Amino acid sequence: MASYCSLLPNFLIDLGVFTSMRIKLLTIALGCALVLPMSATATPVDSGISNANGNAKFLRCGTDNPSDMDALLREENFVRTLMGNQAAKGSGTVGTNAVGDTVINVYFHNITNSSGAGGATGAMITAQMNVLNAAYNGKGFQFTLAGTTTTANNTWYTVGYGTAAETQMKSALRQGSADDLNIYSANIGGGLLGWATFPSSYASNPLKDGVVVLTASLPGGTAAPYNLGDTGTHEVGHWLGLYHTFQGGCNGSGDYVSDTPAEKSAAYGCPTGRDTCKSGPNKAGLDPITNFMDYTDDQCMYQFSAGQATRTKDMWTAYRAGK
Amino acid sequence: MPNTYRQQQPKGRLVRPFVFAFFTAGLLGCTAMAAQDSPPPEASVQADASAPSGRLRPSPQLACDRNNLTSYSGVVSGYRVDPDNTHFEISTDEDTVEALAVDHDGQADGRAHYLLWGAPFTAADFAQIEKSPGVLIDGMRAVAWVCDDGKTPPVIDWQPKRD
Repeated sequence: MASYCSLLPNFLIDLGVFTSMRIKLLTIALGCALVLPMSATATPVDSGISNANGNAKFLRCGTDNPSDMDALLREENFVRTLMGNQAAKGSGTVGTNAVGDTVINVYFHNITNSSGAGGATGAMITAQMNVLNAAYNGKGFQFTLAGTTTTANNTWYTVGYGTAAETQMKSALRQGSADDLNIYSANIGGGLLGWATFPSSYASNPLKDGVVVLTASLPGGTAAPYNLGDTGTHEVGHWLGLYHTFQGGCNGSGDYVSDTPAEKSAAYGCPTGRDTCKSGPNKAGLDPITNFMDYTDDQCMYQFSAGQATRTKDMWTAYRAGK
Repeated sequence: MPNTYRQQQPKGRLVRPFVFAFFTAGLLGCTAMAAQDSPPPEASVQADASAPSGRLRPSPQLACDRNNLTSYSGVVSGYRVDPDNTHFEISTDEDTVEALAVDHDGQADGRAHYLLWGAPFTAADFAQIEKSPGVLIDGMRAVAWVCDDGKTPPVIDWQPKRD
């Protein structure tokens, strides 16, 4: 099962495989018949091990990863839920505009330090809304600012992912239901520009639902080259159900969107002509460095693919519309 | 330095013989379940407390041109300190497994190539990532920054849980 990692020390191979097996068994125990054949026969497509830096000996291995199975399960559930909701036809959306786009209410939560400094200005919030609407124009969604809150709180101001501060902040401020977008703007640290929850997570943890962005990443902020508002666009993409374009690397189902070429890993800057997948499904085409779901500079990313638009609409129907 | 490799799931070998039994049971019992409506899945890997689905910004500490830069973010599932290098395996948030070795010839450890939440890493910071020398705290997360310019070594940005 792990022979394709033959250039790696055996201890590295064993660890990945046996971790994988445990999670696969959990998957099986949960009753997921469709996944079982895959877990038994999973074979990496990308058998090559690249050497990104000879000095560093960075190796990439196509080890079958347990998360692949989890992702497949999530996709299966997504399709099943989508079909059920489409059949029901009763779960309307919050509204549509003249061209039939879904109109999403946005609640923007502006966090400052306890002195009231460091928050977003009204102009920055307005500009962020404009960036969102431009990015999703023609993709089926429009965003309207339904409300803004401003909170002075030193702990929330430096909120980190998965912390008690995040839980407290969202519990106190979140508004609306599954089809309402809550954006929290704060001075987040740890090298993160932002983070988001997925649509499928709403049912199990509705209070956590939403998007958190670095205030300096808003248009006019100081986080150049990440200050044109596309962190918001990227995180809302997650909130609508999109994965990173480099999800799964060169192997497997990638980001579950057929028209985004596979990408081995995140791109930064704007590396024109980058092409990191020479084998594997969906290898054709250059890396999608201009896609909003990559990690390139704001000025480099400017588009979603048609497949991503379809996926977000389907995710909306399955997990958020009328919920 | 200890030549220790920590295996995150040490009981994994024990379950292997039962794969086919579960396989059979799953096929018989679960096909029907798949046809039924079911609630949305629990929090996804990307959405749980250990794996943010977000956007990273390179640390100013990195010397690499952004056009040559990539990153692998996730749980450090393998860690072994050797005299001249340290080996890592990262189970990434993007469902891949990456292996990396950081050279530290002449140094006892790789701290010169480490960051802690984007800030310089000191000897005292090992207490935040290791429970004993050469053994990581369970579930330790890191971002491996890799430069393909052929000269810049990788950097491991450790991200211990914080509250």
